Amino acid sequence: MRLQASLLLSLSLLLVPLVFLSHASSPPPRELWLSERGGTVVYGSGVGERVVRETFLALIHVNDTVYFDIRSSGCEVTSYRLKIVHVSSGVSYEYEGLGEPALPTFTASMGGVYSMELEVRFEARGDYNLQVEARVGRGGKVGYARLYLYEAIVGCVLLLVVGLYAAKRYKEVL
Amino acid sequence: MPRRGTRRFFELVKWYISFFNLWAASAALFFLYLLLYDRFRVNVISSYLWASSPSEGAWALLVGTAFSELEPMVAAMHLALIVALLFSLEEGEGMSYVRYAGGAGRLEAYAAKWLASLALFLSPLVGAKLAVILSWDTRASLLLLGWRFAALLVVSLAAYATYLFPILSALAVVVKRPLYYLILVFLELYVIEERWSLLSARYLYMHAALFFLPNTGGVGFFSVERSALLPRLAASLLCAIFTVLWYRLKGEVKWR
Repeated sequence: MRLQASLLLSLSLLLVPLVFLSHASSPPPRELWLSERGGTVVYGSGVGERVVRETFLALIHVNDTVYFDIRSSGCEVTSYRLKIVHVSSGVSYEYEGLGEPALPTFTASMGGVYSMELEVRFEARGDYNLQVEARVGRGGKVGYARLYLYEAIVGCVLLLVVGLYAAKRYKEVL
Repeated sequence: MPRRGTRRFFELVKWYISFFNLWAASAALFFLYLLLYDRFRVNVISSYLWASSPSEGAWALLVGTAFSELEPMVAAMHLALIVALLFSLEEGEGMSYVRYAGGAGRLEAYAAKWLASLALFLSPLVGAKLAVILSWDTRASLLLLGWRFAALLVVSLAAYATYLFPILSALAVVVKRPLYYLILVFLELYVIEERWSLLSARYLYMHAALFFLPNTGGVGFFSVERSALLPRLAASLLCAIFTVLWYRLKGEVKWR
């Protein structure tokens, strides 16, 4: 049983490099597709002031930046209101602007899920088409690399200490 | 074994450690699943208004993001190895005699193996998913409303394992030799996974089964269309009935 189980263990460990190789050779398309943008398109016809409200939910990490994008035709954006809430801690940020907006970019100071409510007011002139989009750009992760390095060093030292102690005991017993 | 006292405790510890290979393999699989997920993966969804509150939506997004394209395949291999351990190897190791001596029937052992497979399958997979979710957003663990989605995920994965278990175990019971069983299962997984295959497109199906869809609010196993679900459940049920009949017809092994 031991032998067989260790064979199974080595087989499952063999999967690790295989997974790495597979990831490197062909990154899974759905993962690429899933990430990074979400949005909505509003179209219709008419004249007068209208409102679009869109709610985004985004999983982002420290230093990642969210860009908001409005593309319009046949209408004029008059104002926007953006409310961003870090869901699990409740920290919120609000932005408002008038006129043809250059929407703010939002850089996350902590990782987690953010809920983003974007309200856009626009003046329709006939057939209009308005696209509201949120994109995420990845920020630097140097801090994490340093953390992982420290953890690796601490782990190695611990392993060494435990190993040395075990070896010492082993020598004493035998 | 002594009834009480320190010696009994150490005997129990010894017994526990004798399963070390199993724990080690589970830990290895935990790290393997963890490797599949991207620590810095980002995900944006719009119009999550099906969720009753932002905290629910947050958990749905987290659970939905803790998924990898390779995961279904690895999970199927994981379950196949567990079934090999529980059915093929235990016969060779004389564990069935231990069961017989203990006074348990074959069907009871089958049920126990099903529970054991659930525990061995779910613990690394769910553990890795939760680990990656909490590494993304540690405070999310305080959003109690959202844990509903984690629970649904566990139920869905358990249902998936329960669906696959009879099929794999029927094969293991018939083939007996672990090597041949593993070769057949892996051949099935790699080569015959086409739409026309006997267990028709398990791999494709697993995508739906394991994948939590944050846009629709559907959860894994329950979001699969009925036309795809029913034939597979029927096949699984038939395999379970076959195994039970096989045990009944062959009867107990005559120990000498």
